[in-house]
Amino acid sequence: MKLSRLLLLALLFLNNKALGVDYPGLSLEIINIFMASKEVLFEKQAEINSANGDKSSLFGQLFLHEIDLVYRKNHGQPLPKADHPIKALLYQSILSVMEDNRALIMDPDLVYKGLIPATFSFQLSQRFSNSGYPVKIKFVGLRNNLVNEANNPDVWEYEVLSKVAASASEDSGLVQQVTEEKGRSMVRTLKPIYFSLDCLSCHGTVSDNSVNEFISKEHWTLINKAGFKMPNYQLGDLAGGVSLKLDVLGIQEGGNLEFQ
Amino acid sequence: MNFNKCSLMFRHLAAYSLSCCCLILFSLKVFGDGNDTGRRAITIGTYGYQPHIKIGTGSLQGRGINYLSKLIESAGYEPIYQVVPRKRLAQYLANGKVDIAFPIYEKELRDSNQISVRPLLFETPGLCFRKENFIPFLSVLDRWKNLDIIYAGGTEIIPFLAKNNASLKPVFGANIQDRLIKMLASKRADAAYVANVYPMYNINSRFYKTIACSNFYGHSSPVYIAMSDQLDLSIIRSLRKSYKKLPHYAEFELEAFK
Repeated sequence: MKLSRLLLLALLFLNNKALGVDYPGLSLEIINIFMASKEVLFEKQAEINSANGDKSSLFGQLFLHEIDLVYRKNHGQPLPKADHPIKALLYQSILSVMEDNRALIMDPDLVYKGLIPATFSFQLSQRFSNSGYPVKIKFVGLRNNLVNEANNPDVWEYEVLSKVAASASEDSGLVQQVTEEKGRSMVRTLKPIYFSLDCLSCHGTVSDNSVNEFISKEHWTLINKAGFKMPNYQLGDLAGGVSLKLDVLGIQEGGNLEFQ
Repeated sequence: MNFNKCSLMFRHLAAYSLSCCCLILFSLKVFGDGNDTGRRAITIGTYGYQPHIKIGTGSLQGRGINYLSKLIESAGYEPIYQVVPRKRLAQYLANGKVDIAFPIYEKELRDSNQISVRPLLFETPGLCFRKENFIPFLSVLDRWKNLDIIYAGGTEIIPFLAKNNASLKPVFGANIQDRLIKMLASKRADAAYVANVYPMYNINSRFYKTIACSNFYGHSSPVYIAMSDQLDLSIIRSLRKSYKKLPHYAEFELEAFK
């Protein structure tokens, strides 16, 4: 079964190369752009939550430039060009999500806006996945510790995450497979995410809780900024993954994603 | 006898005047369709849909109007706007009384042609609060499950909210948005549920200084531009082609803020 799936993936790769589209490669690029935008959101928390000041780098081309900087740092190459409609859709979705949050970001009366990587990536995945194109992206969490029910993994995602969680390696890499759904080939990609130091301020232990930063130990709280109980994760623990599902036939049938 | 003659002449004159009027009106209609530019007119059915479509004292305004005009003009047609009651817009489109309609929801798309598979925008429901009581994450149920929440009577409530809050109170009357915000500001309610957060909470909203809103992400509805089935296929094609070439609405929205 595994071998046949691998063969199918290889065939699809070769076939799509011949047609000029490398869907597994495209899937990976989409995930990497998604992750880079999420990282920028983390870096920009002070700017987002500030009362005033110049916030122009959070919108439009300037925001894409920030993503480009992170992408270069992570992958040693510039942010991919929007040379495929799905990539263009992702960039448009990123801009739209930031625009949707303009009122919140610019609100001088809110000390904490709540636009964090988790909410940003959820909005982005919703915007991207509900755009009428045969492609879905989402953050998937671990079933036993979900903050948002919408991040519940499906069967394939659950199997992949379980295997990754059980593996000895702390940094298991990307998983790509071709699966069948109602007779259609889906290129599925899952990139595991592990907790970094930055993540632990909300997902770590009570001593990591950023709310407790300037509070004496006897008054520490278990509740994080978002209002959830600190889940006690440690550095390097598996957080979940970013999952992409691409319906190849749907894209080809859709006449390259638009009506003719 | 003289009286009868006068009466007959008057009738002839009246009939002649009426015919002239009809002819003038008919000419106006024919040439009006072609309009000053000589281009074919495309009728767009719409209604007040803040902040995208604003119905003021003069012509329609808003970035939605700017976008639609650009779409129609770049395809070589002349946009003519027709304000239609909200509930009848989809029917007007299905009957061919308007060529294009915006905004159209997913369930209304059945009898029409989408201009694109991608929606123009999304509507997201949410809760609005006084700023000092702002709750940024609606996924934290404990923060809002016991609050007194008001909403405009007749608004559809998302099941997630209905299931988790037992203090939902409908409010009725004219200027309902203003009433909701007044009740919120005067602390007669803890939060107000709105079917679409954006018109209430945007930097140009008159409520922006009073309230802040959070979204129920995952409950968004796509909103489309739709075309009548009765439009010529060549027009449908040229409008779709024009739509593809236009910048995405999000980028178009950016222009509005510059």
